[in-house]
Amino acid sequence: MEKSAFYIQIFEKIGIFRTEKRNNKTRVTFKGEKMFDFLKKAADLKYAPVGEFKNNDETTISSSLKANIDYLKMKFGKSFDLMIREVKIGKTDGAFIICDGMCNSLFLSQSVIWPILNSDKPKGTPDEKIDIIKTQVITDIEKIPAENMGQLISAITAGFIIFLLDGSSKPAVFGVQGYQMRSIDEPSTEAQERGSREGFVENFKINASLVRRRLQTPEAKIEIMKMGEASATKVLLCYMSDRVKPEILENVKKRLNSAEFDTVFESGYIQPFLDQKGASLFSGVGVTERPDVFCAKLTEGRVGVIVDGTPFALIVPFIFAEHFHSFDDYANRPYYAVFIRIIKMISFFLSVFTPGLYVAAATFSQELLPKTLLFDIISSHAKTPFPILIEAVIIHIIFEVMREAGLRLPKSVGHAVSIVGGLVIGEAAVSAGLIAPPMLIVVALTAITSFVVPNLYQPMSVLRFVFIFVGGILGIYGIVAACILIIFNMCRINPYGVPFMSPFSPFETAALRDTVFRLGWKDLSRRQMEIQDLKGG
Amino acid sequence: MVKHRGNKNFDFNNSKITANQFFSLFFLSRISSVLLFTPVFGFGISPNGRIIAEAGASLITAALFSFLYKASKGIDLGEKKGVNIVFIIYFSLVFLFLGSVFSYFSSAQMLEGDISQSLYIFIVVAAVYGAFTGAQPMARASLILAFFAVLGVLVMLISSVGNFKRYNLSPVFFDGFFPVIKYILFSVFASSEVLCGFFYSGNSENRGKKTAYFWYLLTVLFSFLIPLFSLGLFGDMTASIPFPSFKIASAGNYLLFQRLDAVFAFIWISAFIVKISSVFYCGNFCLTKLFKGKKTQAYTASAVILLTLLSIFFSKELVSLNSDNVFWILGFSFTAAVISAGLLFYKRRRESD
Repeated sequence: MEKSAFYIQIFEKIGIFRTEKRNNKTRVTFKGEKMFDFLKKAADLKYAPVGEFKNNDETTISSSLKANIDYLKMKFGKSFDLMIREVKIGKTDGAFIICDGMCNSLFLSQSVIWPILNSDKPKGTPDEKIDIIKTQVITDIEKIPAENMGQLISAITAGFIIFLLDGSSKPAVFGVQGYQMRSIDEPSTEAQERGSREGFVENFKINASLVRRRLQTPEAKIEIMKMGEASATKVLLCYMSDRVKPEILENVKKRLNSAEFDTVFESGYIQPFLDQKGASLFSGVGVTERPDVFCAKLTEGRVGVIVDGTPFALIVPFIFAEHFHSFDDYANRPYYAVFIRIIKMISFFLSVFTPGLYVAAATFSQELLPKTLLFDIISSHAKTPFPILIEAVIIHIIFEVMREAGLRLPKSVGHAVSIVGGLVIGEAAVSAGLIAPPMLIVVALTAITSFVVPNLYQPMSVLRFVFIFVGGILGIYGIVAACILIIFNMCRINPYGVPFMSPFSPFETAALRDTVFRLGWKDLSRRQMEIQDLKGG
Repeated sequence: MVKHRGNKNFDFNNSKITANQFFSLFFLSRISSVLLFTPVFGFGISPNGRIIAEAGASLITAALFSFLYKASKGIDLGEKKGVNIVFIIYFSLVFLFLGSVFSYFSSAQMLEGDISQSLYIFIVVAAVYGAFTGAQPMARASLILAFFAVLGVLVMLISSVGNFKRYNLSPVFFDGFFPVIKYILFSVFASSEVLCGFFYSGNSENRGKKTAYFWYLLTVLFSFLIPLFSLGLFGDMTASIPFPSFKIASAGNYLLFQRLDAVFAFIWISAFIVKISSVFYCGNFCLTKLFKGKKTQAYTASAVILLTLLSIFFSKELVSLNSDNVFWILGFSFTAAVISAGLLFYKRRRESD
């Protein structure tokens, strides 16, 4: 075999080339649009498809208690937390089945087990006995149906108690869930001066109640759905039916239904499915930990998504200008809210552009700087061994490492890290002549300003490096070009008919009342504005 | 039945370009030509003649743009292969010319040495990306950039007004009519925006007359003010400055800072990127029609790479090339493109009658 043919065969196998036979001639074509398929194929070989973990057990529930118990034992295997307590109701054998740690022990013993065992021994066939227990003995507890083993197992793992009677294939399933959970606390990522101190928690029901307490109207809908084959995570879809546009709601539902997961442990899993397709550093999906912010967004005609197990809720559609808003803006006086918003915007630009502009100005465009400042910068950098670009990259990497370390370490050790970091970088690096003092000022300014808009920290930190490199290689002109490229990228984000860059482009004068500016409540309350009032286009 | 509040005309797929976005594309594209003026392609026009020539060219361009936009409503470019080919040739030539000028500009005014070509390539990459994001994102970005460009030009002119010498000005037709007329024609030939408007018609919402007049007025005003200031600031020297408009940026008083021309370069770069993005978008559109709806982004990108390389090599030759040749080549292709568009319009009108 010819060498070329051999390689083509290999590349064809992994999906880079496609061969076709026409008129006794083999035509080799490059799979241009699917050039990365071979990577996907390689990934598929390593990881099993999601479908294999499906919990769609449709085995029918037997009328034999023993058979059912054996089946459950077989399914759960050596799991220690499956608890089965066999009892007798009159002469009939029965069993209570729970998942230990998922139920409220006191509640289940007082409200389910004790009433069943001490009731006037229901009479009739086992099926009739189960019906009597469900309708006459235990009346004030949540009950759900279980028609097959899959549903029964799901109920057990969700913290329900199952009561089975020998001779009946209709189990009684009672909601006695009760597990340790974090109490409602102040949101750690969105601290505010004024307003509510309540933040979302991990439990979806508590989160739903936090929403319902703020929106006590039947128009506020909270729909539930399950996502994740293995985790069966509850996902709440919240919206105001009289304000949300049906197209937006339908699209959100469609996206959520099309998302296939094995597990959903965080709302971040779902976020890409709700976001714009294609690569971007920015996201058209908002994230909040605050129920008041969440409800305020719902009243503007948006759709909110709460995921069980995480306090971070998602909001769509979401626009860029909202990153600079906070709940305090609406509690403070309008002039101060506008002032703070402008400060936030300036901080964003300082955080993203300062290092890149410093590198570009010091490397290419020295004429920009005032003479005295220029001399100071030149004399400081003359003593350091690295070019300014490398110096900037090193110091910003060190900063990011310190930030990451401070975030993950226990608080007591975190302080030590910041002291060591501050001493090493602030004192030793400058004394040793490794880093110029102006560069330290730049990184300090960048670090402080980047925390002013925490929602945008991720794109800001990456963009900072992009601009350092571009500024160091192509000067300010390169930074301008890169900036325009990013503007193009931001302008293409438009997943729900509301452009991410609204109301700046498309320009909407009316929406400016609460964008950079914030009118007083007397004006704002005069006319409610929904998100779909922003121009599309 | 739920009664919905809010915008009744909400368009979920929003494929429309608003009037401001549409005209901002025209404004930036047109201003790019004014900003990138170089005496190499001045056809002997004097700096004083250029003041009226740029304003006149903007006026004619605006009129043509307006006419072609109206004419393009309902026209399917895909129905005539020949028209697509004429457009593709014109857009290729325009990019080759504009690219060469910008490549020359970046090496003469921005960065020294080979790095200036890297900058030019990076700018082309940004423009290609912009074109591939589609008409709406491009138009949205254009409005944002136009806002900053207007602000930048105003700051640049206001800060340099102290150095403006009235005695530097002289009668506009001092050196005769012919160079002015020839430059106006050439400027119109190189105005890709005239034909680009043709391609956005399907996406653009109904134009507001006031919005159109505002942007046309702004374009003509800036086309008048920029050459006026370059003459007022530098006098007779203007004729020997490679890019006189860019020189204005270095003539201002910026308080604390020595010079800010590197910062003001964003106006030049953003105007150029928007202009060639539109050219790439329209070129790609024609190619898609030519290949009957197939994805042609790979072909467009390949063509852009080829033309970029050519424009880099061509930029040095361009200075020594007889500019009359460029005039006739661009003039011929522009006229052919406008005539073919006009024929389509005529055909549609005859069919509807």
